[in-house]
Amino acid sequence: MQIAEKASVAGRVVKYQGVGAAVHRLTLEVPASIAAPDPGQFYMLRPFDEPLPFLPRAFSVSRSRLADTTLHLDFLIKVYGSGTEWLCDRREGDRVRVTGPLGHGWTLDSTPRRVFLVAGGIGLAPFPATIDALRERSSTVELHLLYGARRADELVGLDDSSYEGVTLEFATEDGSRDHRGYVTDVLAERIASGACGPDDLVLACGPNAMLGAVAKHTLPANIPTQVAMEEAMACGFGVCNGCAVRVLDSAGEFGIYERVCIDGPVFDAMRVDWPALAAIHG
Amino acid sequence: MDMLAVELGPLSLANPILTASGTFGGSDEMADFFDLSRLGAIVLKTVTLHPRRGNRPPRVAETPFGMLNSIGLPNGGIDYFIENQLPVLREIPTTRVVNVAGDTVDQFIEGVRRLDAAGGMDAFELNISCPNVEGGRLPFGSDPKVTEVLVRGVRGVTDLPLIVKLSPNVTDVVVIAQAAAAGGADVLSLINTLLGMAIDPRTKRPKLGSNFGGLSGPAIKPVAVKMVWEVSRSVDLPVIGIGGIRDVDDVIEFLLAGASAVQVGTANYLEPTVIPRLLDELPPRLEELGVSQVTDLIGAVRPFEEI
Repeated sequence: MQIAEKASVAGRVVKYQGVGAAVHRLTLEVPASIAAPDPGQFYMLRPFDEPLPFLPRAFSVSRSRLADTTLHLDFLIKVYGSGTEWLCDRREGDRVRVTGPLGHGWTLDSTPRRVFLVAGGIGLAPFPATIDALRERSSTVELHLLYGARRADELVGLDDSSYEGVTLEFATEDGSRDHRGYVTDVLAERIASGACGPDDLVLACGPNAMLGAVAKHTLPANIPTQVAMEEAMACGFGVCNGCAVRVLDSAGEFGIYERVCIDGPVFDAMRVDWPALAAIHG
Repeated sequence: MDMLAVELGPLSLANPILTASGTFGGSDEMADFFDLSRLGAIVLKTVTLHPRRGNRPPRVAETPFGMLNSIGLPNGGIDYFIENQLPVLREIPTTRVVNVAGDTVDQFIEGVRRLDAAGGMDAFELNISCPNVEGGRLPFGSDPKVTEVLVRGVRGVTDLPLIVKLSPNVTDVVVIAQAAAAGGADVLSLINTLLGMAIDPRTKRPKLGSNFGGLSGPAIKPVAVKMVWEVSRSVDLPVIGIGGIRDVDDVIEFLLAGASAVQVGTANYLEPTVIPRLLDELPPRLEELGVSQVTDLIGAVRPFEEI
Protein backbone atom coordinates (compact mmCIF):
# COMPACT_ATOMS: atom_id res chain seq x y z
CA MET A 1 0.00 0.00 0.00
CA GLN A 2 1.25 3.47 -0.94
CA ILE A 3 1.33 5.62 2.21
CA ALA A 4 0.63 9.31 1.73
CA GLU A 5 2.74 11.61 3.88
CA LYS A 6 -0.33 13.77 4.42
CA ALA A 7 -3.83 14.01 2.98
CA SER A 8 -7.17 15.79 3.34
CA VAL A 9 -10.04 13.35 3.72
CA ALA A 10 -13.44 12.73 5.28
CA GLY A 11 -12.80 11.34 8.75
CA ARG A 12 -15.56 9.55 10.65
CA VAL A 13 -16.18 9.96 14.35
CA VAL A 14 -15.84 6.48 15.87
CA LYS A 15 -15.89 7.47 19.51
CA TYR A 16 -16.97 10.49 21.47
CA GLN A 17 -16.43 10.94 25.19
CA GLY A 18 -16.88 13.95 27.40
CA VAL A 19 -14.14 14.02 30.01
CA GLY A 20 -15.40 17.04 32.00
CA ALA A 21 -14.67 20.76 32.20
CA ALA A 22 -15.81 21.32 28.58
CA VAL A 23 -13.11 18.91 27.40
CA HIS A 24 -13.99 16.15 24.98
CA ARG A 25 -12.13 13.19 23.56
CA LEU A 26 -12.89 12.55 19.91
CA THR A 27 -11.63 9.53 18.00
CA LEU A 28 -11.62 10.00 14.23
CA GLU A 29 -11.14 7.24 11.70
CA VAL A 30 -9.20 7.91 8.49
CA PRO A 31 -7.80 5.50 5.89
CA ALA A 32 -4.59 3.73 6.91
CA SER A 33 -3.16 4.78 3.55
CA ILE A 34 -2.28 8.06 5.29
CA ALA A 35 0.87 8.12 7.42
CA ALA A 36 0.44 7.72 11.18
CA PRO A 37 1.38 10.91 13.05
CA ASP A 38 4.60 11.46 14.97
CA PRO A 39 4.10 12.60 18.58
CA GLY A 40 3.57 16.37 18.56
CA GLN A 41 2.22 16.53 15.03
CA PHE A 42 -1.22 18.02 14.44
CA TYR A 43 -4.26 17.93 12.16
CA MET A 44 -6.55 20.61 10.78
CA LEU A 45 -10.21 19.82 11.49
CA ARG A 46 -13.40 21.45 10.15
CA PRO A 47 -16.83 20.38 8.86
CA PHE A 48 -16.56 18.11 5.84
CA ASP A 49 -19.22 19.77 3.72
CA GLU A 50 -20.78 22.56 5.74
CA PRO A 51 -19.77 26.18 5.17
CA LEU A 52 -19.24 27.07 8.84
CA PRO A 53 -17.20 27.16 11.01
CA PHE A 54 -15.20 28.62 8.14
CA LEU A 55 -11.50 28.04 8.76
CA PRO A 56 -10.17 24.69 9.95
CA ARG A 57 -8.70 24.56 13.47
CA ALA A 58 -5.38 22.98 14.45
CA PHE A 59 -5.34 20.15 17.02
CA SER A 60 -2.44 18.13 18.36
CA VAL A 61 -3.12 14.43 18.12
CA SER A 62 -3.09 12.58 21.46
CA ARG A 63 -2.33 9.17 19.99
CA SER A 64 -3.04 7.05 16.94
CA ARG A 65 -3.48 3.34 16.37
CA LEU A 66 -3.98 1.16 13.34
CA ALA A 67 -7.34 -0.61 13.27
CA ASP A 68 -7.49 -2.96 10.30
CA THR A 69 -7.42 -0.78 7.16
CA THR A 70 -8.07 2.38 9.10
CA LEU A 71 -6.12 4.67 11.35
CA HIS A 72 -7.74 5.91 14.56
CA LEU A 73 -6.75 9.37 15.77
CA ASP A 74 -7.52 10.53 19.32
CA PHE A 75 -7.96 14.23 20.01
CA LEU A 76 -8.48 16.04 23.29
CA ILE A 77 -10.50 19.18 22.57
CA LYS A 78 -11.69 21.97 24.85
CA VAL A 79 -14.68 24.05 23.84
CA TYR A 80 -13.41 27.59 23.36
CA GLY A 81 -15.12 29.12 20.30
CA SER A 82 -17.31 28.20 17.34
CA GLY A 83 -14.85 25.71 15.81
CA THR A 84 -14.32 23.68 18.97
CA GLU A 85 -18.03 23.91 19.80
CA TRP A 86 -18.90 22.37 16.42
CA LEU A 87 -16.33 19.60 16.86
CA CYS A 88 -17.46 18.74 20.37
CA ASP A 89 -21.06 18.42 19.13
CA ARG A 90 -20.02 15.56 16.79
CA ARG A 91 -21.13 12.05 17.62
CA GLU A 92 -20.35 8.54 16.35
CA GLY A 93 -20.73 8.34 12.56
CA ASP A 94 -20.47 12.09 11.87
CA ARG A 95 -18.03 13.29 9.23
CA VAL A 96 -15.18 15.73 9.83
CA ARG A 97 -12.66 17.01 7.29
CA VAL A 98 -9.28 15.81 8.52
CA THR A 99 -6.10 17.26 6.99
CA GLY A 100 -2.76 15.90 8.15
CA PRO A 101 -0.58 14.76 9.75
CA LEU A 102 1.08 18.18 9.73
CA GLY A 103 4.20 19.87 11.06
CA HIS A 104 7.22 18.62 12.95
CA GLY A 105 6.67 16.95 16.30
CA TRP A 106 9.08 16.53 19.22
CA THR A 107 12.72 15.71 18.53
CA LEU A 108 13.30 12.66 20.72
CA ASP A 109 16.73 11.55 19.52
CA SER A 110 18.64 12.22 22.75
CA THR A 111 18.43 9.86 25.72
CA PRO A 112 17.71 12.04 28.72
CA ARG A 113 17.56 10.55 32.21
CA ARG A 114 14.38 12.39 33.09
CA VAL A 115 11.77 14.06 30.94
CA PHE A 116 9.54 16.78 32.37
CA LEU A 117 6.32 17.14 30.42
CA VAL A 118 4.80 20.53 31.19
CA ALA A 119 1.13 20.93 30.27
CA GLY A 120 -1.05 24.02 30.60
CA GLY A 121 -4.77 23.18 30.38
CA ILE A 122 -5.62 21.57 27.06
CA GLY A 123 -1.87 21.57 26.33
CA LEU A 124 -2.02 18.06 27.81
CA ALA A 125 -3.34 16.86 24.44
CA PRO A 126 -0.15 15.59 22.72
CA PHE A 127 1.38 13.81 25.72
CA PRO A 128 0.00 10.24 25.56
CA ALA A 129 1.77 9.47 22.25
CA THR A 130 4.79 11.43 23.46
CA ILE A 131 5.07 9.27 26.60
CA ASP A 132 4.70 6.07 24.57
CA ALA A 133 7.44 7.21 22.19
CA LEU A 134 9.79 8.13 25.06
CA ARG A 135 9.29 4.71 26.66
CA GLU A 136 9.90 2.99 23.35
CA ARG A 137 13.26 4.73 23.13
CA SER A 138 14.30 4.07 26.73
CA SER A 139 12.95 1.61 29.30
CA THR A 140 14.62 3.50 32.14
CA VAL A 141 13.55 7.07 31.36
CA GLU A 142 11.94 8.77 34.35
CA LEU A 143 8.79 10.65 33.37
CA HIS A 144 7.29 13.62 35.21
CA LEU A 145 4.11 15.37 34.19
CA LEU A 146 3.64 18.87 35.56
CA TYR A 147 0.05 19.80 34.80
CA GLY A 148 -1.48 23.17 35.49
CA ALA A 149 -4.97 24.62 35.19
CA ARG A 150 -7.07 27.36 36.75
CA ARG A 151 -9.00 24.96 39.02
CA ALA A 152 -8.79 21.32 40.14
CA ASP A 153 -11.87 20.33 38.11
CA GLU A 154 -10.09 21.45 34.93
CA LEU A 155 -7.30 18.91 35.46
CA VAL A 156 -8.92 16.37 33.14
CA GLY A 157 -7.75 13.88 30.53
CA LEU A 158 -5.53 11.74 32.73
CA ASP A 159 -7.77 8.67 32.27
CA ASP A 160 -5.26 7.24 29.81
CA SER A 161 -3.07 4.21 30.43
CA SER A 162 0.02 6.09 29.18
CA TYR A 163 0.04 8.12 32.39
CA GLU A 164 0.50 4.97 34.54
CA GLY A 165 3.95 5.12 36.08
CA VAL A 166 4.38 8.81 35.30
CA THR A 167 5.02 11.03 38.35
CA LEU A 168 2.17 13.53 38.38
CA GLU A 169 2.34 16.98 39.92
CA PHE A 170 -0.35 19.59 39.71
CA ALA A 171 -0.70 23.34 39.98
CA THR A 172 -3.95 25.28 40.14
CA GLU A 173 -4.33 29.03 40.07
CA ASP A 174 -6.93 28.91 42.87
CA GLY A 175 -5.02 26.39 44.96
CA SER A 176 -7.78 23.79 44.76
CA ARG A 177 -5.25 21.05 44.06
CA ASP A 178 -1.60 20.85 45.08
CA HIS A 179 0.51 23.91 44.28
CA ARG A 180 -1.32 27.24 44.27
CA GLY A 181 -0.08 29.21 41.28
CA TYR A 182 1.39 28.34 37.94
CA VAL A 183 2.75 25.01 36.77
CA THR A 184 5.91 26.85 35.82
CA ASP A 185 6.45 27.65 39.54
CA VAL A 186 6.65 23.90 40.14
CA LEU A 187 9.15 23.54 37.30
CA ALA A 188 11.22 26.42 38.75
CA GLU A 189 11.28 24.67 42.15
CA ARG A 190 12.52 21.44 40.55
CA ILE A 191 15.26 23.35 38.75
CA ALA A 192 16.27 25.21 41.93
CA SER A 193 16.50 21.95 43.90
CA GLY A 194 18.52 20.23 41.17
CA ALA A 195 15.75 17.74 40.42
CA CYS A 196 15.66 18.99 36.82
CA GLY A 197 18.93 19.81 35.13
CA PRO A 198 20.98 19.91 31.93
CA ASP A 199 20.90 16.10 31.48
CA ASP A 200 17.10 16.14 31.44
CA LEU A 201 14.60 17.22 28.80
CA VAL A 202 11.62 19.56 29.10
CA LEU A 203 8.73 19.25 26.64
CA ALA A 204 6.05 21.91 27.07
CA CYS A 205 2.65 22.48 25.53
CA GLY A 206 0.20 25.18 26.55
CA PRO A 207 -0.56 28.87 26.11
CA ASN A 208 2.30 30.96 24.69
CA ALA A 209 2.67 32.87 27.98
CA MET A 210 3.23 29.56 29.80
CA LEU A 211 5.77 28.46 27.20
CA GLY A 212 7.61 31.75 27.67
CA ALA A 213 7.70 31.18 31.44
CA VAL A 214 9.03 27.64 30.89
CA ALA A 215 11.84 29.01 28.70
CA LYS A 216 12.61 31.73 31.27
CA HIS A 217 13.34 29.04 33.87
CA THR A 218 14.95 26.31 31.76
CA LEU A 219 17.20 28.23 29.37
CA PRO A 220 19.42 29.91 32.02
CA ALA A 221 19.81 26.45 33.60
CA ASN A 222 20.90 24.95 30.24
CA ILE A 223 18.06 22.45 30.22
CA PRO A 224 17.15 21.26 26.71
CA THR A 225 13.62 22.52 26.12
CA GLN A 226 11.14 22.02 23.32
CA VAL A 227 7.86 23.93 23.11
CA ALA A 228 4.77 23.12 21.05
CA MET A 229 3.50 26.52 19.93
CA GLU A 230 0.26 27.91 18.63
CA GLU A 231 -0.47 30.91 16.43
CA ALA A 232 -3.47 31.98 14.37
CA MET A 233 -3.38 29.73 11.33
CA ALA A 234 -5.53 29.42 8.21
CA CYS A 235 -4.19 26.43 6.26
CA GLY A 236 -1.89 24.34 8.47
CA PHE A 237 0.35 23.15 5.65
CA GLY A 238 2.62 26.08 4.91
CA VAL A 239 0.92 28.02 2.13
CA CYS A 240 -0.96 30.85 3.87
CA ASN A 241 2.05 32.11 5.86
CA GLY A 242 -0.33 33.19 8.61
CA CYS A 243 1.19 31.44 11.64
CA ALA A 244 4.45 33.37 11.83
CA VAL A 245 6.67 33.17 14.91
CA ARG A 246 9.83 35.21 15.26
CA VAL A 247 12.94 33.08 15.70
CA LEU A 248 16.73 33.22 15.55
CA ASP A 249 18.20 33.31 12.07
CA SER A 250 21.34 31.38 11.08
CA ALA A 251 23.52 34.24 12.33
CA GLY A 252 21.96 33.93 15.78
CA GLU A 253 19.96 37.16 15.51
CA PHE A 254 16.25 37.36 16.17
CA GLY A 255 14.65 38.64 13.05
CA ILE A 256 13.20 36.01 10.80
CA TYR A 257 9.76 34.52 10.89
CA GLU A 258 9.13 30.83 10.63
CA ARG A 259 5.78 29.12 10.27
CA VAL A 260 4.34 27.31 13.28
CA CYS A 261 2.61 24.87 10.91
CA ILE A 262 5.56 23.48 8.97
CA ASP A 263 8.69 24.73 10.74
CA GLY A 264 6.96 23.82 14.06
CA PRO A 265 4.69 23.41 15.88
CA VAL A 266 7.54 22.16 18.09
CA PHE A 267 10.44 24.60 18.39
CA ASP A 268 13.65 24.50 20.39
CA ALA A 269 12.87 27.07 23.10
CA MET A 270 16.31 28.61 22.52
CA ARG A 271 15.31 29.72 19.01
CA VAL A 272 12.11 31.58 19.93
CA ASP A 273 12.10 35.35 20.34
CA TRP A 274 10.15 35.32 23.61
CA PRO A 275 10.01 39.12 24.18
CA ALA A 276 8.61 39.60 20.65
CA LEU A 277 6.04 36.90 21.28
CA ALA A 278 5.00 38.51 24.56
CA ALA A 279 4.67 41.90 22.82
CA ILE A 280 2.53 40.42 20.05
CA HIS A 281 0.15 38.78 22.47
CA GLY A 282 0.20 41.59 25.00
CA MET B 1 -12.05 19.98 -28.09
CA ASP B 2 -12.30 19.19 -24.40
CA MET B 3 -15.40 20.79 -22.90
CA LEU B 4 -13.31 22.53 -20.21
CA ALA B 5 -10.61 24.07 -22.43
CA VAL B 6 -10.42 27.87 -22.47
CA GLU B 7 -8.34 30.54 -24.17
CA LEU B 8 -6.98 33.29 -22.00
CA GLY B 9 -5.59 35.74 -24.53
CA PRO B 10 -2.34 34.14 -25.67
CA LEU B 11 -2.67 31.29 -23.14
CA SER B 12 -4.49 28.04 -23.94
CA LEU B 13 -5.57 26.30 -20.74
CA ALA B 14 -6.85 22.74 -20.31
CA ASN B 15 -9.50 24.04 -17.94
CA PRO B 16 -10.59 27.35 -16.42
CA ILE B 17 -9.56 26.70 -12.80
CA LEU B 18 -6.36 28.32 -11.56
CA THR B 19 -4.88 28.83 -8.13
CA ALA B 20 -4.92 32.31 -6.59
CA SER B 21 -1.55 33.78 -5.72
CA GLY B 22 -0.61 33.55 -2.07
CA THR B 23 -2.85 30.60 -1.29
CA PHE B 24 -1.03 27.75 -2.97
CA GLY B 25 2.61 28.11 -2.00
CA GLY B 26 5.75 29.04 -3.87
CA SER B 27 6.32 25.86 -5.87
CA ASP B 28 4.93 22.34 -5.35
CA GLU B 29 3.90 22.49 -1.66
CA MET B 30 0.41 21.20 -2.53
CA ALA B 31 1.60 18.16 -4.51
CA ASP B 32 0.94 15.85 -1.53
CA PHE B 33 -2.78 16.62 -1.81
CA PHE B 34 -3.41 16.09 -5.53
CA ASP B 35 -1.84 15.83 -8.97
CA LEU B 36 -0.91 19.42 -9.84
CA SER B 37 -1.10 18.64 -13.59
CA ARG B 38 -4.88 18.89 -13.17
CA LEU B 39 -4.68 22.65 -12.59
CA GLY B 40 -5.72 24.96 -15.41
CA ALA B 41 -2.69 26.94 -14.29
CA ILE B 42 -0.65 27.29 -11.13
CA VAL B 43 -0.22 30.86 -9.90
CA LEU B 44 2.47 31.12 -7.25
CA LYS B 45 2.87 33.32 -4.20
CA THR B 46 4.16 36.82 -4.94
CA VAL B 47 7.90 37.23 -5.38
CA THR B 48 9.65 40.57 -4.98
CA LEU B 49 13.07 41.74 -6.15
CA HIS B 50 14.41 41.82 -2.59
CA PRO B 51 13.63 39.36 0.23
CA ARG B 52 10.78 40.28 2.54
CA ARG B 53 10.24 39.08 6.09
CA GLY B 54 6.50 39.63 6.22
CA ASN B 55 4.27 41.38 8.72
CA ARG B 56 3.92 41.25 12.46
CA PRO B 57 1.58 38.47 13.67
CA PRO B 58 -1.24 37.74 14.10
CA ARG B 59 -1.56 37.64 10.34
CA VAL B 60 -4.91 35.92 9.88
CA ALA B 61 -8.32 36.16 11.52
CA GLU B 62 -11.61 34.49 10.75
CA THR B 63 -14.52 36.77 9.89
CA PRO B 64 -18.12 35.99 8.86
CA PHE B 65 -17.87 33.71 5.79
CA GLY B 66 -14.29 34.72 5.18
CA MET B 67 -11.01 35.77 6.67
CA LEU B 68 -8.74 38.76 7.01
CA ASN B 69 -5.05 38.50 6.28
CA SER B 70 -2.06 40.74 6.50
CA ILE B 71 0.83 38.49 5.55
CA GLY B 72 3.15 41.10 4.04
CA LEU B 73 4.41 39.13 1.03
CA PRO B 74 7.18 37.20 2.82
CA ASN B 75 9.50 35.68 0.22
CA GLY B 76 13.17 35.06 -0.34
CA GLY B 77 13.49 37.51 -3.24
CA ILE B 78 13.75 36.87 -6.96
CA ASP B 79 17.30 35.47 -6.99
CA TYR B 80 16.36 32.98 -4.27
CA PHE B 81 13.21 32.12 -6.23
CA ILE B 82 15.17 31.49 -9.42
CA GLU B 83 17.66 29.26 -7.63
CA ASN B 84 15.33 27.31 -5.34
CA GLN B 85 11.72 27.45 -6.47
CA LEU B 86 11.91 27.81 -10.24
CA PRO B 87 13.59 24.40 -10.80
CA VAL B 88 10.67 22.77 -8.94
CA LEU B 89 8.10 24.87 -10.80
CA ARG B 90 9.57 23.83 -14.16
CA GLU B 91 8.67 20.20 -13.35
CA ILE B 92 4.98 20.92 -12.73
CA PRO B 93 3.19 19.91 -15.94
CA THR B 94 0.68 22.74 -16.21
CA THR B 95 0.66 26.40 -17.20
CA ARG B 96 2.96 28.19 -14.75
CA VAL B 97 2.33 31.77 -13.68
CA VAL B 98 4.75 33.73 -11.52
CA ASN B 99 3.20 36.58 -9.53
CA VAL B 100 5.46 39.61 -9.07
CA ALA B 101 5.32 42.73 -6.90
CA GLY B 102 7.67 45.56 -6.02
CA ASP B 103 8.08 48.72 -3.97
CA THR B 104 8.80 50.78 -7.11
CA VAL B 105 8.05 50.57 -10.83
CA ASP B 106 11.73 49.79 -11.43
CA GLN B 107 11.62 46.86 -9.00
CA PHE B 108 8.72 45.34 -10.96
CA ILE B 109 10.61 45.79 -14.22
CA GLU B 110 13.90 44.43 -12.90
CA GLY B 111 12.14 41.50 -11.22
CA VAL B 112 10.30 40.46 -14.37
CA ARG B 113 13.44 40.98 -16.48
CA ARG B 114 15.44 38.57 -14.29
CA LEU B 115 12.65 36.00 -14.17
CA ASP B 116 12.11 36.18 -17.93
CA ALA B 117 15.84 35.66 -18.50
CA ALA B 118 15.78 32.62 -16.20
CA GLY B 119 12.81 31.13 -18.08
CA GLY B 120 10.55 28.27 -17.08
CA MET B 121 7.32 30.16 -16.55
CA ASP B 122 4.49 30.67 -19.05
CA ALA B 123 3.13 34.01 -17.87
CA PHE B 124 3.48 36.73 -15.27
CA GLU B 125 0.83 38.12 -12.99
CA LEU B 126 1.50 41.60 -11.60
CA ASN B 127 0.33 42.26 -8.05
CA ILE B 128 -0.37 45.99 -8.25
CA SER B 129 -2.18 46.17 -4.90
CA CYS B 130 1.04 46.69 -2.96
CA PRO B 131 2.08 50.20 -1.82
CA ASN B 132 4.11 52.36 -4.20
CA VAL B 133 7.00 53.59 -2.04
CA GLU B 134 7.77 56.42 -4.52
CA GLY B 135 4.13 57.45 -4.66
CA GLY B 136 3.29 58.21 -1.05
CA ARG B 137 2.75 54.50 -0.37
CA LEU B 138 -0.53 54.56 -2.28
CA PRO B 139 -1.09 51.24 -4.01
CA PHE B 140 0.10 51.20 -7.65
CA GLY B 141 -3.27 49.84 -8.66
CA SER B 142 -5.25 52.77 -7.25
CA ASP B 143 -3.90 55.25 -9.81
CA PRO B 144 -4.61 54.73 -13.54
CA LYS B 145 -1.52 56.66 -14.67
CA VAL B 146 0.83 54.70 -12.40
CA THR B 147 -0.84 51.46 -13.46
CA GLU B 148 -0.31 52.22 -17.14
CA VAL B 149 3.33 53.25 -16.65
CA LEU B 150 4.01 50.14 -14.57
CA VAL B 151 2.42 47.73 -17.03
CA ARG B 152 4.07 49.39 -20.03
CA GLY B 153 7.46 49.20 -18.30
CA VAL B 154 7.09 45.50 -17.57
CA ARG B 155 5.69 44.91 -21.07
CA GLY B 156 9.01 46.22 -22.40
CA VAL B 157 11.08 43.48 -20.78
CA THR B 158 9.09 40.32 -21.50
CA ASP B 159 7.22 38.73 -24.38
CA LEU B 160 5.37 36.36 -22.04
CA PRO B 161 1.67 37.00 -21.39
CA LEU B 162 1.05 39.63 -18.71
CA ILE B 163 -1.83 39.21 -16.32
CA VAL B 164 -2.57 42.31 -14.24
CA LYS B 165 -4.31 41.60 -10.92
CA LEU B 166 -6.64 44.43 -9.98
CA SER B 167 -7.49 45.74 -6.53
CA PRO B 168 -11.13 46.31 -5.58
CA ASN B 169 -10.09 49.15 -3.24
CA VAL B 170 -10.63 51.84 -5.86
CA THR B 171 -13.40 54.24 -6.83
CA ASP B 172 -13.82 52.80 -10.33
CA VAL B 173 -12.14 49.52 -11.19
CA VAL B 174 -12.96 49.98 -14.90
CA VAL B 175 -10.66 53.01 -15.13
CA ILE B 176 -7.77 50.98 -13.71
CA ALA B 177 -8.61 48.05 -16.00
CA GLN B 178 -8.49 50.36 -19.02
CA ALA B 179 -5.15 51.76 -17.87
CA ALA B 180 -3.72 48.23 -17.57
CA ALA B 181 -5.01 47.44 -21.05
CA ALA B 182 -3.46 50.64 -22.43
CA GLY B 183 -0.14 49.65 -20.83
CA GLY B 184 -0.16 46.36 -22.70
CA ALA B 185 -1.77 43.81 -20.35
CA ASP B 186 -2.95 40.57 -22.01
CA VAL B 187 -5.28 39.43 -19.26
CA LEU B 188 -6.89 41.02 -16.18
CA SER B 189 -7.46 39.12 -12.95
CA LEU B 190 -9.78 40.43 -10.27
CA ILE B 191 -10.36 40.91 -7.44
CA ASN B 192 -7.55 41.05 -4.91
CA THR B 193 -8.67 41.29 -1.26
CA LEU B 194 -10.95 44.04 0.04
CA LEU B 195 -9.47 46.13 2.85
CA GLY B 196 -11.01 45.31 6.20
CA MET B 197 -10.53 45.34 9.97
CA ALA B 198 -11.71 43.34 12.95
CA ILE B 199 -11.31 44.13 16.66
CA ASP B 200 -11.32 41.78 19.65
CA PRO B 201 -13.75 43.21 22.24
CA ARG B 202 -11.93 41.47 25.11
CA THR B 203 -8.48 42.92 24.41
CA LYS B 204 -9.55 46.02 22.42
CA ARG B 205 -6.79 45.00 20.01
CA PRO B 206 -7.22 44.67 16.25
CA LYS B 207 -7.25 40.99 15.34
CA LEU B 208 -4.37 41.54 12.91
CA GLY B 209 -0.88 42.66 13.91
CA SER B 210 -0.96 45.25 11.09
CA ASN B 211 -4.30 46.52 12.48
CA PHE B 212 -6.10 45.97 9.15
CA GLY B 213 -5.73 43.68 6.19
CA GLY B 214 -7.38 42.07 3.21
CA LEU B 215 -10.72 40.29 3.31
CA SER B 216 -11.19 37.12 1.27
CA GLY B 217 -13.56 34.18 1.05
CA PRO B 218 -17.26 33.83 0.19
CA ALA B 219 -17.98 37.14 1.99
CA ILE B 220 -16.48 39.06 -0.97
CA LYS B 221 -17.91 36.98 -3.82
CA PRO B 222 -20.78 39.31 -4.80
CA VAL B 223 -18.40 42.28 -4.91
CA ALA B 224 -16.07 40.29 -7.16
CA VAL B 225 -18.82 39.07 -9.48
CA LYS B 226 -20.05 42.63 -9.99
CA MET B 227 -16.56 43.95 -10.74
CA VAL B 228 -15.87 41.10 -13.18
CA TRP B 229 -19.15 41.89 -14.91
CA GLU B 230 -18.30 45.61 -15.18
CA VAL B 231 -14.72 45.10 -16.35
CA SER B 232 -15.44 42.33 -18.85
CA ARG B 233 -18.09 44.51 -20.53
CA SER B 234 -15.87 47.58 -20.67
CA VAL B 235 -12.42 46.28 -21.56
CA ASP B 236 -11.55 44.10 -24.52
CA LEU B 237 -9.31 41.70 -22.59
CA PRO B 238 -10.00 38.28 -21.11
CA VAL B 239 -10.75 38.36 -17.40
CA ILE B 240 -9.95 35.89 -14.62
CA GLY B 241 -12.54 36.01 -11.83
CA ILE B 242 -11.35 35.73 -8.21
CA GLY B 243 -13.25 35.99 -4.94
CA GLY B 244 -14.81 33.43 -2.64
CA ILE B 245 -15.06 30.50 -5.06
CA ARG B 246 -15.75 27.24 -3.23
CA ASP B 247 -18.42 25.44 -5.24
CA VAL B 248 -19.00 24.58 -8.87
CA ASP B 249 -21.84 27.10 -9.18
CA ASP B 250 -19.47 29.82 -7.95
CA VAL B 251 -17.24 29.00 -10.94
CA ILE B 252 -20.22 29.16 -13.27
CA GLU B 253 -21.37 32.46 -11.76
CA PHE B 254 -18.02 34.13 -12.54
CA LEU B 255 -18.03 32.72 -16.08
CA LEU B 256 -21.55 34.03 -16.66
CA ALA B 257 -20.45 37.44 -15.36
CA GLY B 258 -17.78 37.53 -18.06
CA ALA B 259 -14.73 35.72 -16.70
CA SER B 260 -12.90 33.33 -19.04
CA ALA B 261 -11.34 31.51 -16.10
CA VAL B 262 -11.27 31.69 -12.31
CA GLN B 263 -8.76 31.50 -9.49
CA VAL B 264 -9.50 29.62 -6.28
CA GLY B 265 -7.83 31.07 -3.19
CA THR B 266 -9.05 30.93 0.39
CA ALA B 267 -10.95 27.68 -0.25
CA ASN B 268 -7.59 25.90 -0.59
CA TYR B 269 -7.11 26.45 3.14
CA LEU B 270 -10.44 24.90 4.04
CA GLU B 271 -10.21 22.07 1.59
CA PRO B 272 -6.80 21.50 -0.03
CA THR B 273 -8.45 19.25 -2.60
CA VAL B 274 -11.11 21.81 -3.59
CA ILE B 275 -9.73 22.34 -7.11
CA PRO B 276 -9.81 18.66 -8.21
CA ARG B 277 -13.30 18.43 -6.68
CA LEU B 278 -14.47 21.43 -8.73
CA LEU B 279 -12.90 19.89 -11.85
CA ASP B 280 -14.77 16.63 -11.18
CA GLU B 281 -18.05 18.43 -10.58
CA LEU B 282 -17.88 20.91 -13.46
CA PRO B 283 -18.55 18.60 -16.48
CA PRO B 284 -21.70 16.97 -15.01
CA ARG B 285 -22.95 20.37 -13.89
CA LEU B 286 -22.42 21.75 -17.42
CA GLU B 287 -24.39 18.81 -18.82
CA GLU B 288 -27.18 19.47 -16.33
CA LEU B 289 -27.31 23.07 -17.55
CA GLY B 290 -27.32 21.94 -21.19
CA VAL B 291 -23.94 23.51 -21.91
CA SER B 292 -21.54 21.61 -24.19
CA GLN B 293 -18.50 23.89 -23.82
CA VAL B 294 -17.48 25.85 -20.76
CA THR B 295 -16.70 28.76 -23.11
CA ASP B 296 -20.42 29.01 -23.94
CA LEU B 297 -20.95 30.37 -20.43
CA ILE B 298 -18.47 33.25 -20.67
CA GLY B 299 -20.39 36.50 -20.37
CA ALA B 300 -23.69 34.68 -20.93
CA VAL B 301 -25.45 36.38 -18.02
CA ARG B 302 -28.87 37.71 -19.10
CA PRO B 303 -28.98 41.09 -17.37
CA PHE B 304 -32.37 42.69 -16.80
CA GLU B 305 -33.29 45.69 -18.93
CA GLU B 306 -34.60 48.86 -17.37
CA ILE B 307 -38.40 49.00 -17.53
